[in-house]
Amino acid sequence: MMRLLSLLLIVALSFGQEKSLPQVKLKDMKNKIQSLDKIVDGKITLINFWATYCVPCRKEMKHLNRISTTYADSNVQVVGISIDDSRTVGRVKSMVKSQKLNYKILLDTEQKLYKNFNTTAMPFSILVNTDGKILWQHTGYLPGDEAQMELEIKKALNTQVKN
Amino acid sequence: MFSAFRIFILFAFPLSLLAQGVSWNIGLKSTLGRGQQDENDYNYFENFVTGSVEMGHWYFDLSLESSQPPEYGSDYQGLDRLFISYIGDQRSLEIGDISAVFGRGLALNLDENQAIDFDNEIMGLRFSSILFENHEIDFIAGVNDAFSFYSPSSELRKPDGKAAYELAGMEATINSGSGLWSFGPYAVLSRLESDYLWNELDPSTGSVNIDTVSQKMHAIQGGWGQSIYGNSWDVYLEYNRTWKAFNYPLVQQSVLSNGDELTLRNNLKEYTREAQALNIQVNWFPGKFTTMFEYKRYLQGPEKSSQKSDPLYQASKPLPWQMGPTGIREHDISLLGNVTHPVDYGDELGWNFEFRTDLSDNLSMVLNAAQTSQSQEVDPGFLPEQDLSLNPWQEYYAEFEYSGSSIYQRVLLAYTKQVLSGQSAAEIVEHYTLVPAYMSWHPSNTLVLSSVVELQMSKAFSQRYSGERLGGHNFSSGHFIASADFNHLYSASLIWDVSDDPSLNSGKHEMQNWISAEVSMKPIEGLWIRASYGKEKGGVRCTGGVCRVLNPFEGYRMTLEWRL
Repeated sequence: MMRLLSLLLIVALSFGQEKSLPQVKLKDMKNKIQSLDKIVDGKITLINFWATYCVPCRKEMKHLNRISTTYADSNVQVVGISIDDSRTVGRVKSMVKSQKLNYKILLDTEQKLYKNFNTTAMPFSILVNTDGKILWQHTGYLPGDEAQMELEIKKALNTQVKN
Repeated sequence: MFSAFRIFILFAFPLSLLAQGVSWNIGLKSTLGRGQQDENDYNYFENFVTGSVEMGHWYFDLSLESSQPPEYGSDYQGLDRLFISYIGDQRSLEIGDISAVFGRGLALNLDENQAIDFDNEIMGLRFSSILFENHEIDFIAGVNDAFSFYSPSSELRKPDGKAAYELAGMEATINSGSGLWSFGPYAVLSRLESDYLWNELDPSTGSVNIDTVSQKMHAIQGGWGQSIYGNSWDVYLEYNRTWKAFNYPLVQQSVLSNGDELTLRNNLKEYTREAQALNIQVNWFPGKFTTMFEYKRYLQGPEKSSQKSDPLYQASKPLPWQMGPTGIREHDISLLGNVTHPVDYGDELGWNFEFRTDLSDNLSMVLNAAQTSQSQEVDPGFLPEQDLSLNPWQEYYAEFEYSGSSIYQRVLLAYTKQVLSGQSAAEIVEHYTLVPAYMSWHPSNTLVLSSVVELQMSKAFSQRYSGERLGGHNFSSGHFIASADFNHLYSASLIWDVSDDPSLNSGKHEMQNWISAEVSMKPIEGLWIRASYGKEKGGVRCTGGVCRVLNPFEGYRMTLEWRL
């Protein structure tokens, strides 16, 4: 087992560099296939993984709604990705409508994208720049986390302006 | 053969990565538990190292496990998961441990859930192709040569039994250009092998021998999922049929004695069996409120109560990959989670209705009602019935949620009725649950204080099918949490459970307490350390419709999660 682990470490560390968003295709709430890299392309994107049964995710949603509205004119978008599996995915639309979410929602029912990040906790958020490079990751939600999110978004906007 | 296959993937892929533009992730999860369960040592040390490498269209994922033993299951050291995929603009190919869902899982749902030691994934391949921009076709094939299963009420750490299977399937997804509907037909072919007790009469000695034989089952599944989308509503319908054939028939064998002579009688021999499942969901969201109605009719392997927990009847049960939506709410409230209903994918009729509305900008309300039961033996019918012989279950639930600028609060009321059918009478338990506080308050940007207060009054009694009520008793339970989070990095919680439920105390009607404390810290983003000490109550843990009963635990446990 140690050999396998060593091999993996060597491969990873040899080629390790800035992390980028994996190229995946996800379905939207009307079952249409969407390429995540095409959605992200050219925009600073806050991606938020959530599920209908996750209470902290519900607490975070109204802040994501506000961020989505506040930064809509600044080339910033929010994308919510539900990781509800096939057994609870039917509840996503009801939740989205009742919470009046104003940002794009995609479905990762097989958790293919979510598992890429080696995390098990929810909600999980990542901020990616206009090239799809991951700038910031955050697990969980506690009241006040939204301030940190906005700070990271502002940093990304400043970097974009400088470039 | 599969070891060689895995090693080939392991070495072939890194060699192909000799190029620039590689992104990687490495994660470590380690859990150490030392303590007692039912006065027996319950020590475990579970470790997973996961790594993924992504380069352009290629993705490689590896997970190694070293568990001596794991929290649930047997000692294991070696490869836990291996996966390589190519995702192109129009086509994708996956090789290795494959998870997949056709429709909403009535016919095919392959997934791994380490928290309850459930893994029905196959080692194989999957190929998907997008046709005409918005239609998709998906092929899958592979084997699982050691599927472990627990009965829903199993309190053991080790699985009840094992089975092996191979399957191949195809699903098409056809979407209308206007976005008004989506249609997804699918088919799955499979072969499953599991142990089976078989009585054989030995003509030379006249005795009956009981052999454990390998029962083989071949199955064909076919079905479709259909969605229709309106402006303020949508409908999803999925229907699936299964045809099974067995080498050893499903049979009720009985040995008759006539003096010195034994005879073997095989009653109701079945070499083939048919099964079906239906799931419907209707959402309506006119604006001021939303409603959701779910209906399920799962008849994928009705069986007698005595057979439900018997691992020898695998082929007649729903297939290990047939897990559709639960059709009931899965609770995050501890006391409600403990009285939830383990979904019977083999034989269950049910409905679930949910109503959500905003009472003000900060206050919302959810009302929920659900009923389930087994089907009638002769005419299964369509709606759940509250007949005591059909293990009926029902729950009614009201929740109010306030989400202010610095205070979050939920208040909840629920009534749950469970029935466990027996030979001549049924055991009935009614639970009245009140959650007056499920709140958090953040007085400053660095401090969050939270508390949970859950109260439950329960009535348990027996009732004959004739209606005569037999003896019973009342009991009550409480679940309390006080916690504080500081600077978004450190947290501490005190958890107190109290109950005089005799079923948790060897039949004694006395108040018991379970007290534990947990601290956790995130010194840097990606690193999470948790430690707890004390007595934990245990109970039912359900995820995605698969439930396990966890025994109380006393001792300490530590978990470390590190994501690089």
